[in-house]
Amino acid sequence: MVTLTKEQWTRLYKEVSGFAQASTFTKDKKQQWTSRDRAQEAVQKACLRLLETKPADVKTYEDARDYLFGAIRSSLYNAREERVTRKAVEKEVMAEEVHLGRWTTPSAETMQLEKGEQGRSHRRAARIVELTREELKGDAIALGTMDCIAEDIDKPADQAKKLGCDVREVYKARFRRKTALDRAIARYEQERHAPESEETA
Amino acid sequence: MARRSPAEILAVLEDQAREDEAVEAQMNALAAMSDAQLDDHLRGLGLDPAQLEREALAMFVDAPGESRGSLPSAVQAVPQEAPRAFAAEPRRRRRPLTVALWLAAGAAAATGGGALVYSLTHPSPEQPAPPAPSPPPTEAPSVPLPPAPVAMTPADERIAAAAAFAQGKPRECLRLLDHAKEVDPAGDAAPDIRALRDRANRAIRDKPPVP
Repeated sequence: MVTLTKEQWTRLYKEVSGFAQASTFTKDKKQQWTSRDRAQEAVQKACLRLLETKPADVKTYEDARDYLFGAIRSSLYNAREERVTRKAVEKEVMAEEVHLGRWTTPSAETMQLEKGEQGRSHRRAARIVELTREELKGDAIALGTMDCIAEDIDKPADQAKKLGCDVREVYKARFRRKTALDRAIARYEQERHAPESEETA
Repeated sequence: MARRSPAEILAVLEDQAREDEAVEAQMNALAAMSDAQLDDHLRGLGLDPAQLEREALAMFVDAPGESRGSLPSAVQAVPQEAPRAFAAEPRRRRRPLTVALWLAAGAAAATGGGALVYSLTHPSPEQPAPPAPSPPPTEAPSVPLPPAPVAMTPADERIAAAAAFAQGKPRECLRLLDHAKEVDPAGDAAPDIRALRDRANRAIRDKPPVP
């Protein structure tokens, strides 16, 4: 178990409390106390987990910090997910409105253009996902998180369970995956512009 | 189990990357704060730094083993004094009393009014005049006005901007960044902040037009 001074524990606790409060902050006055309690509960749960599990790999202040931030993020994931789901439902309702003809139906030409755009978007996405996997070659956890996403398993705790690792490993893998994604997008853009530059040359 | 299309997978990857960037920005901003700045930031969020300090010591230093039973005290951990950011609460708690007073006043007025109508329609000089209806209260019981909003420091606003971006609100993110820039122009040049600004601008640009 990591050994820190009083000042370090206090500083750490304050930082994670601030992070949790900011993560759950809502402008809705009715929800503020609920979100406040949720944040506080997440902080306490994370701290208790650290004390109880005494993870061997948490040796420094930075490790403890990463541990607590990861645990709090995981704990607050459900709350965030609820908001996202609500947005998705609203989107579906909008789509249904369009389907039922309550919104203006686009012309055949527009529909054709949209179809073409969708095809391009699909090809772009497929290629970027493929390139990201290439970039992550050998990184079992990061690739595993991509498989999980493909199977509709987004929750970090569930991904960790499926991959047989700690949730912190999932968050660390996500950072590597982000770098890989950036590189993949850059590669895709190069590929896309390559034929044009060859033609002009 | 449902398999997602590449477009859906990419959307999730991009969402999570944005979220991770925002968290990283928040973590960096918190780490870069001095102790005094951190305390100010916590107060801005409605937290009491002294209370947090006591909790931290109780949990990690004084009796880390005993603190395991303290999870239900999450609500107790809320600062003793009403935090500025949550000033609406006292008003909400007073509402039942306000309603009760108004109802009581209304009932009294109705009773008095009824008596007055009866006395006018059934004149009886022998009877003493009905008691005058109790007047309704001229003003509602005093409700404390919410205090002035807490001034956010530029660092707070940048953290809030990162959070807004993570929640898919690039315009709100830019607004907060601009406001922070007015107070602290030098902070706007930090690589993290510049990157966040670029991403927000890109998100607005790439956003499909509303049909």
